[in-house]
Amino acid sequence: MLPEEELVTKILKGNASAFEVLVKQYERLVLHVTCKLIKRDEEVMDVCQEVFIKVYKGLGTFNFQSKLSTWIARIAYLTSLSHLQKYKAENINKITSDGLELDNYHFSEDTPAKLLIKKDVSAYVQYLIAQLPLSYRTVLTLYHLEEFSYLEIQEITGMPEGTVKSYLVRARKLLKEKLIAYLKNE
Amino acid sequence: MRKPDRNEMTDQEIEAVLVEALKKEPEISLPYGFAAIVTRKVFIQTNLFGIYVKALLLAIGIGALAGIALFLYRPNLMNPLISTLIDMKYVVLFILVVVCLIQYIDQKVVHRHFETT
Repeated sequence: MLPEEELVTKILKGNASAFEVLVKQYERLVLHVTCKLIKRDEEVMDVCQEVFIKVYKGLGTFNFQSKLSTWIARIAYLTSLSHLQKYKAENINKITSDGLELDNYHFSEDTPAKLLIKKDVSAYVQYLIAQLPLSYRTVLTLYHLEEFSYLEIQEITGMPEGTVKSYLVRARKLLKEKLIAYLKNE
Repeated sequence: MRKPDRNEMTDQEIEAVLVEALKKEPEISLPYGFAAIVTRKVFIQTNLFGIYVKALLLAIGIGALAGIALFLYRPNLMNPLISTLIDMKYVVLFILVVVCLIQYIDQKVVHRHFETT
């Protein structure tokens, strides 16, 4: 694997293969960020493409003050938000929702189809996460799936570190409660 | 993941189950060759001017070759051809403009529309 600086320099010189390497290296990260924010699968690929086009166009301004992964994750996060705003797929107010909203959060009632999901613990947790407000979904994904630190999540989302920690604790607590109830077959 | 029994599990074990579920990769994946598709798209978009210049130079080259061939093998046809082209210069110009316009609209509107749907 090429060092970040060398890879960026090659891309800036117009090397297409180097850019392809960068896309391969970060496509998983971009997919994870976008698919947790955008619920419609058919839109996810378009947004991922848009993210990498923005990465290419903005690469000249990247100054290596942060990790390349953090910078790309921020572009993916902001592009997904702007996509949601553009298509009004989700109430954008939920993006900036505060903790009170989660305290009063209600998961949708079970239906036979949803009960099928419950047969699998992972699928059930994913199903619960998908219903959480956008900010909580983002923080959970960045922390657990991508293993970013609190500071890096702050850099990516623009949320203060305290808020990131609070969202993580609240979301995990709520998910744990739901999981215990599920395991008890309530 | 098999559904465990709550009665058998401690809080730490439940926490572990939750963390494992949170670390699970999403089921959605990008198509095979996504990196190549994006790279081609990015480089075509950014080098559009270069592509148009190359196409224009190619068209001029083909025209010049055809002119040279005509001059070498049928020199008697050169003068009537040039005078016809001069007489019909506005028609030729109009056709060229329409072809370029169709190409431009195709790139800007039609292709972009199908790329986003």
